[in-house]
Amino acid sequence: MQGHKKSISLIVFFIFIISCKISTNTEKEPNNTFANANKISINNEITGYLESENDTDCFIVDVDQEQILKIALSGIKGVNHAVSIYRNENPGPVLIKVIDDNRKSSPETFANLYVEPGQYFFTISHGSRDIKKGNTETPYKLNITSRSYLNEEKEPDDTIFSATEISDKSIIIGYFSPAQNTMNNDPKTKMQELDFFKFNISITDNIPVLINVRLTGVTGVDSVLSLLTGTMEELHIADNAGSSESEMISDFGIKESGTYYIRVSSKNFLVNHEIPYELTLEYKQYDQNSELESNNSFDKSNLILNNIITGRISNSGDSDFFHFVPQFKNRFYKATCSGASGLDIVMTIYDNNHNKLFEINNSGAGEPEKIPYFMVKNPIYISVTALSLSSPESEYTLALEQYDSNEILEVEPNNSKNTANILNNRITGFITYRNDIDYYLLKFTEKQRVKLTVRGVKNGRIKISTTDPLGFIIKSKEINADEEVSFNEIFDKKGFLIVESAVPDFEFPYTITVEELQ
Amino acid sequence: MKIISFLMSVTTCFLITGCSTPGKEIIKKEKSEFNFYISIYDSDIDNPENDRRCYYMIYINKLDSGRTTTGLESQKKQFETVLPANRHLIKVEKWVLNENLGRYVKMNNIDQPKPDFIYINIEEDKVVRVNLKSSKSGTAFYSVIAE
Repeated sequence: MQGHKKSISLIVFFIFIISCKISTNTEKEPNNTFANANKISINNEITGYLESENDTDCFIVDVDQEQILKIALSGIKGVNHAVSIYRNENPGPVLIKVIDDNRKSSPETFANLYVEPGQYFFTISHGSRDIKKGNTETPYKLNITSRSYLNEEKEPDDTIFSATEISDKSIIIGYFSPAQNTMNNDPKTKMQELDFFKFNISITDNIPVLINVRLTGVTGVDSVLSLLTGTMEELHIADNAGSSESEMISDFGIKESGTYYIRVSSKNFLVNHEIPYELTLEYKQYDQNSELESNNSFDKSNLILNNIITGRISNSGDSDFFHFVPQFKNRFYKATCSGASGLDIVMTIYDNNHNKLFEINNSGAGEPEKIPYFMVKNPIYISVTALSLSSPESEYTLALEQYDSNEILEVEPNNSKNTANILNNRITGFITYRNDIDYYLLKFTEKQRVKLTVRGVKNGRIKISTTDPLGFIIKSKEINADEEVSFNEIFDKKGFLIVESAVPDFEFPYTITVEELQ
Repeated sequence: MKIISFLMSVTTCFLITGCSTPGKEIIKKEKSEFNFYISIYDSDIDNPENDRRCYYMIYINKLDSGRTTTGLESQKKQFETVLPANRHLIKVEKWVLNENLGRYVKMNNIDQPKPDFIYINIEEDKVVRVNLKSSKSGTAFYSVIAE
């Protein structure tokens, strides 16, 4: 008898437990409105059905402290469902987020909803994309779990008005979650899930502030990092790295006090609800030997002081402009631009009127670009770009060095008859860049027979041609390495020497000597 | 046609032989640094479009000795040098401008002046002037004046 009593007691106990579990973890219809929303608690799984095409299941959560909620809604076979989140305010609930990946049968996840004490509604309904239909056989499971808030983005932070604050030397974590934001109607970023962060810059003594922003990579996500003004003007976009890799904005110069925004987004609606990104922000005062972004045009070019400047190619389209004002006019300078491993630098020289003089792309990735000697007659502009980037930290150093020589040196650009250097007795020239052609003009009072002696470039091969007065080639000779070749030519009062490279050597010069013969 | 060619060749030979025959008008060489001059031009260019820019390489005794000035085919192109007293073989080679290439190119052998050589005698204190008149057909007429 005692045994029977025990058995009955156990059965009753289990029935009680099971019934309690069912009653606390299953929706209770009708719950289609905020007024009859089912009250649920965090960290308890709720089961429910979207029974018809019009069914909406409404749940209310009381939040007693600041925390982060993760919302996970299981998929329903053949149904595209969505979760809408409302904050209960006076006079009524305000929609703050919609979680809808626009796909049938798939679960919906939102990794990090930031909540403060108050009430929040979670409504489960059909998504907007597919035909709405009920499913009374497959239930959904809604699981809202919580964790403490610490240095994290405050979702929803999808606009500048709800941006999460970030400050100097701070690290904030965030998630590429959820997949889409159906509340984003901005034509440029429509449906994209965006995370905004804001910070304030205060400029003192007109010294710009350089900011560095780093966004760590997240598995499976190709991220984009943007810097915006208070009026949503895009100052800079970092989109250099590929999927799972970090993005960086380095030493971007800000010259005006104000509020600025960082925007984090993913390409192609890629998500990762499990692994967060880390966003780091740092300020520092501008160093006059550093590049000050944005300097992508002549007007915004940075002045090179002390003959040296460091910079970064922050994306494949980035071009950095520098203005160099020589202390003395008509002096020769050497220029070297050396960059990080893998950075394939291109240097372009412009005159003071923005006319392109020449472009240097002699070396491969990771190797410095050099201009052996070039005449700086007046202030010049130098632009630095890259054909390939090494990493988000694509740093380079551009250095100029004045060169005083007793030799008569070629003056670039001299790529045409019109810009030919006048050659009297002797000149030293360089193959300055790929496909460089050097023109020299010889002038005499009458027809003149001359002996030309040419020493070639040490590690290359040059072709030297003589021309008639109109510049049409009469004779060509190739000179290997630094061998010396002499030949006679007749000039009808005037003619040109044209030097081209067959095998370029940008390091060593060639020399031409002209001797008049009787 | 064969008759015309024959007559031209005979004329050319006559001119060469006749002009270089001693006893012709010989003038004492005036004070000049050169003693050999050659001047070459095309005589029958009648269309500016066919009047190409050209020059002639000059080979003396089979050695490259320089070139004439450049000019249109219809213009006289000059070359001058100092030669020792002796009999010399003078050969000319025509180069024309290929504007597409931006350079002068040697004309095919078939288009070179015919004949493309002349023997001259240089004597002490004498100046020899050779005039070469070329025609479209390639026939060359040489005249030599020893002064």
